[in-house]
Amino acid sequence: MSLQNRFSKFHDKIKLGQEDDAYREARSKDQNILDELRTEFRSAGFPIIDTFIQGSLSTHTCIKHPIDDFDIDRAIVIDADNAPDDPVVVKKLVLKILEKRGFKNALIKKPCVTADYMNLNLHIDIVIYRQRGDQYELAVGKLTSSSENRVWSSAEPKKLIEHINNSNQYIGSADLKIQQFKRLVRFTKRWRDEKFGQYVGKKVFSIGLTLMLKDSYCPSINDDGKVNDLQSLRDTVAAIVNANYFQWAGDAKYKVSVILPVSPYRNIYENSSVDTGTQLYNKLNTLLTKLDLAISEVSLKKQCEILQGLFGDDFEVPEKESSNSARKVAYSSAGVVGTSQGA
Amino acid sequence: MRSLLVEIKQYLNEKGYSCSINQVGGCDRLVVDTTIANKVVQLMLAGEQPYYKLPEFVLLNPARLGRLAHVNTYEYSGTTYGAVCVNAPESLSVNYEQPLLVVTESLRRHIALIEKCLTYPIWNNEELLREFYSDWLRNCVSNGSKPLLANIESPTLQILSVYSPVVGKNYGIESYHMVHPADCSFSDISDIHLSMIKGNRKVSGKAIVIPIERLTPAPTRFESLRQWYIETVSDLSSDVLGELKKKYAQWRDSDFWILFTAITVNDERTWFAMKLSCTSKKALPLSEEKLSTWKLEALPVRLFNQENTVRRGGGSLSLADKKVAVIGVGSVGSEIAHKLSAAGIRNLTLVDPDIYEINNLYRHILEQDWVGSSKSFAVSVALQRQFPWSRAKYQFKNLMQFAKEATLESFDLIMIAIGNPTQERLFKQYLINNNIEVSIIDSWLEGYGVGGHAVLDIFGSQGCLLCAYVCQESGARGLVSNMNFIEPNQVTMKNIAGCGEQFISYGAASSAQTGVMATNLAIRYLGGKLTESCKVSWKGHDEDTVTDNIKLTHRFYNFSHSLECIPLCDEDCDVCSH
Repeated sequence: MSLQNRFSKFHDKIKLGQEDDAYREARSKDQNILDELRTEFRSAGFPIIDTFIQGSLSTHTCIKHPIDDFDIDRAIVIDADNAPDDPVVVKKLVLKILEKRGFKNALIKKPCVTADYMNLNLHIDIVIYRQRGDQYELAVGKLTSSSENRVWSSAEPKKLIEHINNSNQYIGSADLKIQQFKRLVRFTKRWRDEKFGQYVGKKVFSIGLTLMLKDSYCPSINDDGKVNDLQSLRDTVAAIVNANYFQWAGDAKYKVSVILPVSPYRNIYENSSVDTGTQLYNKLNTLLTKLDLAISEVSLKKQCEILQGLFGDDFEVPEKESSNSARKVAYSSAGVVGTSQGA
Repeated sequence: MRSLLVEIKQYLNEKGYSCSINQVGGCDRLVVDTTIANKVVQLMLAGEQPYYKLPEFVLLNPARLGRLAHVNTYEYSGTTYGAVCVNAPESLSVNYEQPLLVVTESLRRHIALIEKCLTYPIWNNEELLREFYSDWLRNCVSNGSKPLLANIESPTLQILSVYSPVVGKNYGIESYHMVHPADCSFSDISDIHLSMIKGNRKVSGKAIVIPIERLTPAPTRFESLRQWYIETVSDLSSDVLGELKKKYAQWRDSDFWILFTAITVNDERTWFAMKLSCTSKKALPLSEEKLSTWKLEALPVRLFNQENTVRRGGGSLSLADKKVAVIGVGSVGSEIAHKLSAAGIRNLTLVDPDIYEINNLYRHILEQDWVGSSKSFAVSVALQRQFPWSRAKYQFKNLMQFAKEATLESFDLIMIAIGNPTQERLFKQYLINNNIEVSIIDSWLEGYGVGGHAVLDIFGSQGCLLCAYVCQESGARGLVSNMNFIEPNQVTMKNIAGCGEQFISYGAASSAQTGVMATNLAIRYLGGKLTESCKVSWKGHDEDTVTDNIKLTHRFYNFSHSLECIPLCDEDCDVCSH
């Protein structure tokens, strides 16, 4: 079994998709809440005209977290012509529904309304946009915000999803390459969860990592079409470290900045501390060193041990260097695939 | 014209040759006087301007030099000349813009050849034997007419039937006189066999095959044919002569066809024939006295046996008895079957359940007469009609029916060209499950002219068909080949007439290229030159995929090993990894 096969198995273990069984209950709750929100908004004169999932579920880069809850990032959209001038008005409607359904910690935050489900490992973030044509504006403001801090702020949530999912720039096996990029995102997020304390880890935002990986992604597929996730991750991390994401802050410290590629083009890490930037920079360099070590290692078992040190126990290490026993047959997960083959 | 001759003369004189311009047959001719091996030699420039080929020089008074190889004497207006053959004209690229250089080079070659003939008599004699047959042709009264076809496998003393051409046939094998044994190995449906079965060919006589142990150069003139015959018969080995007298001396006839055969040089064998005719039936004349009442005629012969014909066509006799099954005789498979037969493989089993349709016409080897017939039957007939020693059989089955009913291990190779990855993987699994020890080649092409692929799965060697299906991302068994150039799950079928009328867009050039590539793999494997499982692809162009917005694989853009054999084994293949 090749190292790539080990990466593939690791990926299968950590990935989480909207259709996964593990997510079934969360999906059901999300649907129920959404139904109630539709009714509530309609009654209030702000009918929901669109709704979509955003965040890592929408970009297929979600992973299982060893401790934390499942997240749902639900966006709801109302018509700009019907929207109240004060965005907190509609956010209160969301808060009302969440409180009514017995969520704990229901809270209006600046960009969203957030809550935890009482008896489930389920965390929910609901954001509200108003839409005019193809322009979106995000409802910003807290209950305590002054009127000037309660604003509809320009945003492009769907363009962001499109940017991350876009594979047009890849020539040849574009699907294979976008899938490799997404595996790298999942690997890196699991590495973050393993290597950062819970407090700093939460500050290393997934969207920031995802955008760095997207912009710096180096595919590794050999001329025969064989993919190599280790090499790709190594090359991509090296590209990130050498890019302009980290600014010298003196005394071996760094500030990190990743600019959102869509409106409002803000720095995702604008409010992050120097400590977060420094830790991220240093840990990425350590990650790079370890990946180089794994690449230079000839023993598959030792390679896996190094990678387990980076990604945790979900990255399995074979008991023996090579097994003489018959390999278990792994079948394709697809039922049918369209081919171009003829004769 | 004369001015150029003068120019040539001056140029050659400057180069040290002794040249003059003489009137020969009313024309100005350049004559070069030289001495070669102490003999005076005169060469006359016979080639006419412009010099698009090497201009010929002819020998004047050739008789005084004795018999020289590559020199043919002839008479013209009462004068004897010697035509010198210095080179095969098509092998030269002539600098026609520099006639002086061309003439000088031609003269140099003529002199060099004559010098070698005069200086090295052994070489001269060997060359005379090497060109025996072309010299013999000059003695044939019917020179230029159709040769006697001789299907003779062994050069031993024997008697065979001579069959006359089929009446009314002006071309084709049936239009030739043919000598061959009754137990011939021709296909049952070859023209030759069929015409004999139908009785269309009459036996016009008997031919005696006479092996000559010591061949002497062919007679230069028709008049010396009798002398050559008597000398040759007298010089036969005692065994051959004794047997000839014992077996055939009592047999009387008015016509004898004699097929002589002998080794010329370097173990090359030549065949040539003579017809002896007499007004009354007599025994074969073996003395000058008995020959006097016979008319002699030299005949051209074309050896038409399996060994000679297959070799001459670039095939190999060592492949003749290999057993190969070709499953799927569509555009790729029929090409494979055709080229395998052309390589000399006789025992093909063609398997296909499909009917030949009008839609197939423009990318298939079959003629339109076969529309409505079973493809496998039609191809088997077409092959036997083209290749006289083919024994192609057919079966009206699909791959898995064939797998379950045939003794697969009896085949040296099974070639699959059905363009159906599901059936191909199923067949491979069937071989694995049933421990069937046979090597296979799978070949397929992709639409839009982007390329084609073949996988050689040698039993017992690392690497199998399933290696070509390992998912390059996960290492699991994939459903599409990792060799493909077109990304999966795209609409690559064209549809011009609704359901059931879909087809992959590719031309005959693509299917032929794929078939030829797969056949090369097969020939190398069967010939023992490939001993490890391997894969091979040819890469075409992406213009048409761009037009139709078809996405291609990373492998397509990075592939630079067209037609090269690449190791097949994939470390993640569950079959090959233990």
